[in-house]
Amino acid sequence: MNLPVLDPIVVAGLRELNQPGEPDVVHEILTLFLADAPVRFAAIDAAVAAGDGPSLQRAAHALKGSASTIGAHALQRTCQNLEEIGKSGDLDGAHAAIDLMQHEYARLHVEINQLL
Amino acid sequence: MSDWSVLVADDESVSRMVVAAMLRKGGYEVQLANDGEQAWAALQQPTAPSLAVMDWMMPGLDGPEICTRLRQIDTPTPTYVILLTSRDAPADIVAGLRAGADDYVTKPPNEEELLARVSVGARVVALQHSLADRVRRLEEALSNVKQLQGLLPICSYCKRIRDDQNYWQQVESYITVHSGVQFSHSYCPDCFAQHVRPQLAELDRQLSDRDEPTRT
Repeated sequence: MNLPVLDPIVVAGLRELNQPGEPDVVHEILTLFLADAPVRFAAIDAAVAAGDGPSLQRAAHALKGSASTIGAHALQRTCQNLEEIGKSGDLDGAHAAIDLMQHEYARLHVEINQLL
Repeated sequence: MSDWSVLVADDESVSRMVVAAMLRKGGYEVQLANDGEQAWAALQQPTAPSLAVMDWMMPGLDGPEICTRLRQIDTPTPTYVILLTSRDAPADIVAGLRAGADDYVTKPPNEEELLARVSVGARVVALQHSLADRVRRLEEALSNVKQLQGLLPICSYCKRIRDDQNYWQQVESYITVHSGVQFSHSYCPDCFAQHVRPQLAELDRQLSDRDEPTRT
């Protein structure tokens, strides 16, 4: 099943949070997401390098939460996969999962840039 | 606009910002905490919000740990806590409620559901505050009644009562102050015979004395 890179329904819901005279909420949230994601990637990479399953689980869980909040369902799915790998403690498949996550993030980045 | 202030604690900045935006749109004042330690510190302040929306998973102090600490505080107005949990972790929900959370919302939160649950919280908090206020007033009244039931120093001659500030008060005013009872003054049949009738007789005598010269 092809999950949306950036779900327009979720983005429209976020846009409804805009208040008169206040900065655009969607712009603020997506900018924050782009600033926050590299920090999460670094934590995921560090956890895999250290063979630390619980840390991988936590870092992937956090990025999954942010991705689900903005409607980045495809990225969210790859984060969930990594979270489960971290939880299992068997990090063999982690590198392949990270590649998939980076691929989805690159696609998401393009879509976000079009909105900003 | 609501008068309520809500603490939003989440280490995920994106989620924190969205929850805060939803609450502001719902008319709530929002206070932010980036992690569990900040949330706990904010809840210790005298002006701490009575409502908190907290992420389950935070570094340092997580949501359930904060709930456990909050529930150890003996207060008539405990903080109303809504935990933010993952949709795929029902065990977290049970553990969070057992730790003392009042409610939960799954992430990512739906705006209408979040606001509905926070408004339930605001209603509960308002009831607790009004109940605490009534209990306080009842305790005050009870302490006044206890003073009335206690040993009262009364003057054996004039029957005035010595109050806590060492002033001698009339019985009526002492009881009025300590119980809210109001007195309407009258006289009993004995006192009528002993005090009022002689005074009336004296008045009659004075009136007839005054009228006497005009008749002669």
